[in-house]
Amino acid sequence: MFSKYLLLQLKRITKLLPGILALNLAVAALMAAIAYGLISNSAYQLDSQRYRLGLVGSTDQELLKLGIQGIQSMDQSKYMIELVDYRDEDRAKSAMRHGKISAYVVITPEFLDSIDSMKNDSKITYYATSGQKGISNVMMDEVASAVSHLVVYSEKGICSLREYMGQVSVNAIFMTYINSILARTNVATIESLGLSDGLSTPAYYIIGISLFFMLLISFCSISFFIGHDRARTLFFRAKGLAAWLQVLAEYLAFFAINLISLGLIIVLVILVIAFNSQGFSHITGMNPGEFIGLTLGQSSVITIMFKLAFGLLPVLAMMSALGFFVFEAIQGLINKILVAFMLFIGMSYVSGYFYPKAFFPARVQTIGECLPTGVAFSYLKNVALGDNSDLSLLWMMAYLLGFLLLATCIRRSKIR
Amino acid sequence: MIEIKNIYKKYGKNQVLSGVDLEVEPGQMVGIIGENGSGKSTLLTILAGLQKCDSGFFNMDGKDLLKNAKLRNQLVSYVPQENPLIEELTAWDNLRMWYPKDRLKKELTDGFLAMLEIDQFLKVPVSKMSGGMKKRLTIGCAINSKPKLLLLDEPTAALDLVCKENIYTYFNQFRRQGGSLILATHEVSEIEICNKCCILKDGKFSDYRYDGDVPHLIGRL
Repeated sequence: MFSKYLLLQLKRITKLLPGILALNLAVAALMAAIAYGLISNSAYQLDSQRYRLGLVGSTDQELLKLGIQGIQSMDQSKYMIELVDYRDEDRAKSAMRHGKISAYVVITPEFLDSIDSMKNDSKITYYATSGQKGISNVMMDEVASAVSHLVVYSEKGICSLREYMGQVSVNAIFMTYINSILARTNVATIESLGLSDGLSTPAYYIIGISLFFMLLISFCSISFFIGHDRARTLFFRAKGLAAWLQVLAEYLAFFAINLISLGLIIVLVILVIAFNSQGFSHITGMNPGEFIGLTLGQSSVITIMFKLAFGLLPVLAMMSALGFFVFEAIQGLINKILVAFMLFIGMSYVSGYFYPKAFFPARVQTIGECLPTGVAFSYLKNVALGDNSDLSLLWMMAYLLGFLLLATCIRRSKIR
Repeated sequence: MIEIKNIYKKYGKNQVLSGVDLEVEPGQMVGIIGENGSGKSTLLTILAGLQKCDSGFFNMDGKDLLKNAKLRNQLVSYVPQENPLIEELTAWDNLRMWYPKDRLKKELTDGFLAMLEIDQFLKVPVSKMSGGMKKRLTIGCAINSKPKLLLLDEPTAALDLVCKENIYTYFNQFRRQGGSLILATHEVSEIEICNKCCILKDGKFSDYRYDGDVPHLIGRL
C-alpha cells in the first residue's frame, strides 16, 4: 500500500508542479536580483573603488601631515583609501550615518601633544558604524580599521626614531626610514580578516544565498499541504496505512518536487552564465570559470558537478524535512506561511546566511552553528573547501530523521 | 453477527464511553444519535482501529477485530465525515489506489461502483466534484475490500436532498448484499431509514425507536 500511496502522491505533484515552479522562478529572480546587488557591490571591485576614512581634528602637525600625505600619495593604500578631513566630529558622524565614509578617526589634542613631545603614550579614537551591515560594509570597516592602526603606529614609529635621529643628526637615514615604512604593501588583504569562516567572500555569498534559496524552495511548495486535512489521514490509516508510512511517502513526494524546482533553477543559472559570460564578468570582475573555481576550489568541471550534486542533495533533503515538519505542525494556510517565513528568516540570520556569523556574540554563534541551517552551512562550506573531516553530514541526517519522526508524532496525534 | 461489548474510553478525566454494548445483524443499518461530544465519532474511530479503547470487545462472527488489525481492515471500512480524497486527482486516480486496474474496470461496469454511478465522473478532478459525487467516490474507495461492516460518520451532512436520497439507495443496496452499516448521525432522514437506533448519552447506549416525533427525540438526547 505504501508504494501505491507514494505513486498517488507523485501523481499529485505533477498537478501542482506548474504553480510551484512558477513561484520558484519568481523567488529565484528575486534572489538573483539580491545576489546581483551584493556581488556587483564594491566588495568585488577593489581596484575601482576607494574606501573613505574621515579625519577629525587638526592635521597641521608636521609629522602627522607627512604621514597623511604619504598615505595619499606614496603608499600603495592610496588606491583604496581616501582620507577626508572634517572640521568637527558631528559632521564626520553625520557623513558616516549617510554612508559617505566607512569610519572616522578623531585626532585628539593629547595625541598631537604626545607627538610634539616625542612620546608614544597617547591614543587616537576610531569610530565605525555598528549594527546591521552587509558584508561589504563590514569589509570597509575592517579596511578602515587596519589603515587607521597603520597611521597611528607609523606616526609613533616616526616620532620615536626622529627623537633618536635628532640626537645623532642623521636626517638622511631618517627620511629613508619614513620612505620604507610608508611603502606598505597588501594593506587590504581582506580574506585574512576571518570574515568568511575560511571561505573566500564570493563563496560565502554563494553558499549563504543558495542555502536561503533552498529554504525558500520548501516555502514555495506550500501548496503541497493545502487541502491536506485530517479526514484523509484517518481514512488511509483506517485502510491500514500507518502514520509513519503516510509521512514517509508524502515527504518523498515533497522532496521530489523541491528537487525538480532546484534542478530547474540550476539549469537556468548555468544557461544564463553560459549565454552571458560577458555580463557575468562585468558583474563579478571574473569570468565564470574563475568564479566557480574561486567558489569551489580549483577543480575540473566534472568535479565541480559532483561537488554540487553531493553538496546540495543532502542539504535539500534536510531542508525539505524541516519544511515538511513545520507545515505538518502548523494548522491553517496563513499560519503556515507566517510561521515558516519568520522561522526561516530567523534561522538563516542567526546561522550567518546574510551576515558573517563571526560578528555575532559567541553564544549566538554557537546557537547558529547548532541549528539545522547552521549545520547545513558548515556542511556546504566543507564541501567547498574540500574538507571531509567534520560530522556535519551526519548531523544533517540526524536532523532529517528527527524532523520526520516529529512529523510522524504529529500525524499520529491527529489520528487520535 | 457483530458484537460490541463493554467499550470504555477515557480522555484524561473525561469518561467518554462507559460500557457501550451493541449487536448488529447482517443487513442491518444502525443509527447512533447523540449530542455533539457524546462520543459517537470516538466509538466509530475505535471500531475502525484509529484509536484504542481502554477495554471492551468488538467481535464479528466470533473473531476479535480489536486484536486482529489485518482482518479488521478487510472486514470493516470507515468513511469519515469530511472528504478524504486527493483533490488534485481524478476519480479514476483515487480509485486506482484501492483497486487493481482489471477489477476496477469490472466494478465500474457491473459492480457496486456501477451502482454508485461513479463512471459518470471518472475523469473529473475531485476539486471540481459536487459534495454528492465526492461522497459516492469516498464510499466507492471505502468498499474496495468488500467489507461486511461500513462505519459512516454523518454520511449525508451538507448534501442536498437528491444526493441524500441517492446515497440512501446505495446504503440499501449494500444492506441487501448482506453488509451492515453503523451511522453516527444528526439527520432525521437518516434515522428514518435505519433498522435500529441507539441514543448515546453519558457514555452508554439506550435503544430508541423513532416514530416521527422530533420533539420527543430531542427530549431523549
